Amino acid sequence: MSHSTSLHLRQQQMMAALLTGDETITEHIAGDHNLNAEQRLSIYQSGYRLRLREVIDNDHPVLGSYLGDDLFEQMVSGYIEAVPSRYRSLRHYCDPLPDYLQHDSFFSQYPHIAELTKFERCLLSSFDAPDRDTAAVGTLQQLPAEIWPQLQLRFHPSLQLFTSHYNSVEIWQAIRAEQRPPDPTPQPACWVIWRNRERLTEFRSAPPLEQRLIHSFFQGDNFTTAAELTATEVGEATAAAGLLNILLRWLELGWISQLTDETTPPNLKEVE
Amino acid sequence: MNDHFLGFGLGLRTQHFNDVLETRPDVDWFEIISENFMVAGGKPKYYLHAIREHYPMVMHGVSMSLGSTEPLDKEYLQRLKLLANEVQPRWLSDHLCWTGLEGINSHDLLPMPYTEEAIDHIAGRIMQVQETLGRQLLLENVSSYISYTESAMSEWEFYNEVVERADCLMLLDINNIYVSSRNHSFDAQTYLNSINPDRVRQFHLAGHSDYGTHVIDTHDHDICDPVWELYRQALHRFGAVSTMIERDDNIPPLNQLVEELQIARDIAAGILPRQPSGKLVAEREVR
Ligand SMILES: [Fe+2]
Repeated sequence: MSHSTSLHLRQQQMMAALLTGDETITEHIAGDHNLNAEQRLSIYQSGYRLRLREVIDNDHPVLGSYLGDDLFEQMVSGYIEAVPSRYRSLRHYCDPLPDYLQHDSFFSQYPHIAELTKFERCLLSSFDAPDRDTAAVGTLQQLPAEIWPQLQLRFHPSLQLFTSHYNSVEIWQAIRAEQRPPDPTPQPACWVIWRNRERLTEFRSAPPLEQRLIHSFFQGDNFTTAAELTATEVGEATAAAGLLNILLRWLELGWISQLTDETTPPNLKEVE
Repeated sequence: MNDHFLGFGLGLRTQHFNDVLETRPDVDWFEIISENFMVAGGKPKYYLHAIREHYPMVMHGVSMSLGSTEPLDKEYLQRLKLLANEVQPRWLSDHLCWTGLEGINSHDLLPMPYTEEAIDHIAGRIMQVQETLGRQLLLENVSSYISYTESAMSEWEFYNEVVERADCLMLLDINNIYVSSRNHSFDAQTYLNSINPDRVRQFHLAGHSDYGTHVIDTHDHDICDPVWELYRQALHRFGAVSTMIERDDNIPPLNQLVEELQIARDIAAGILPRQPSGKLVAEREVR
């Protein structure tokens, strides 16, 4: 064996011991009267699992309570086995967890669990989304009325639309409030998740008109299009006032970072 | 003048963000875990910048994987460089270890075999990193639970040699020396006495879990007496070296850590000579 490969080989053996339990490396570990090679190796093997388990536990407290101890352990050991970390930061270790739950032979029977997990991850990603100033409530009125028809919105980078097919967000809320969660049931809904001005993550349900408006602004549509959309929902007579109310509320909530008549597309993250 | 001596610091932890800003504790500097702030924005970044206004900082990384036989992660290094531009740390450190292979991260600080091959390999990579980052790196000794049968030298010989060849600096973790001395039955004092004093820029102090037959580096306890004793010996040998306490689990209120840091200050005050200004100076530099 060439010199340059022995370090590599040892590292492959160590990774195999952590990931698959293959203990070939013990032949190359010195034991002593305190601990033999297997015992020494097992410190790393259990440390590896404990560390990842802790990340899942910290990132997904609601999922953890919802599943209860036994199912949580089943999920944790399955996930650690199936999905080693490909990230430099543990912050991302659970990014593939919703996908894992959606495809795992056991958990895929309960699709609301993957959805609840996805929701919990969206909250985390809004939490450390990029910073951007939010437009003040008065911004709109300060802009000359003649440019209003061309105005577009730039949403705050933390803003996401979360579409659910089950009552998973209600389940999340109940668990969070330490109440009995409702039984899972199909229930299409749409939620806006964002980070507020105190840098805390919030969410609220988005009624159909708001959803359509968010989509429309997201595509780069301007106020003229938004007013037409609003008219189809509430009628011509109250469309302008209705749209203005919605925009003022969005400004108040800190959803909007900029009102502009330029045409660079805004950025909105959509999760389904 | 020893302009590397920052005094006595703590690791900056999420639980203490608000207390640090509001109470401005008597801590000379903070060490941040680089990976925890490699996010786009939000609360951690806000506090990082706000606290940085009031305290010097150093950056400490856990996933450079210097000893790994997979290629260096260029993207990680670029993100680290960006963060360093933001934070303007006094220095930047990572570990004498490897953390993963073939794209998979163990998120553990895995020890190297102490061989010529390993020295060549890791020293070469440290030089590459220093080139990329445009600064000298501090390299920290890790706690370990295994030693490889092919090791041809002691950990301290290996550590010294890597640091000389890579022309980097040392972050000496006093607790890790203690932990490894127990796990591998070597004399911690011998370790300290073998380290080249010219390279040492920072000390880590921490607590661990003692299982009798072995000791695990858990950072979830107060610092124990043998580690304080070793710290005394380190001060005698290395003089005034920037010292900080790492606490990562079972994290107590900030004031409790500030009190623990006072123990370090008191120990140092009894050992290190002072300048006329009252500031501690390194013994070696007075000679
Ligand atoms: Fe350390």
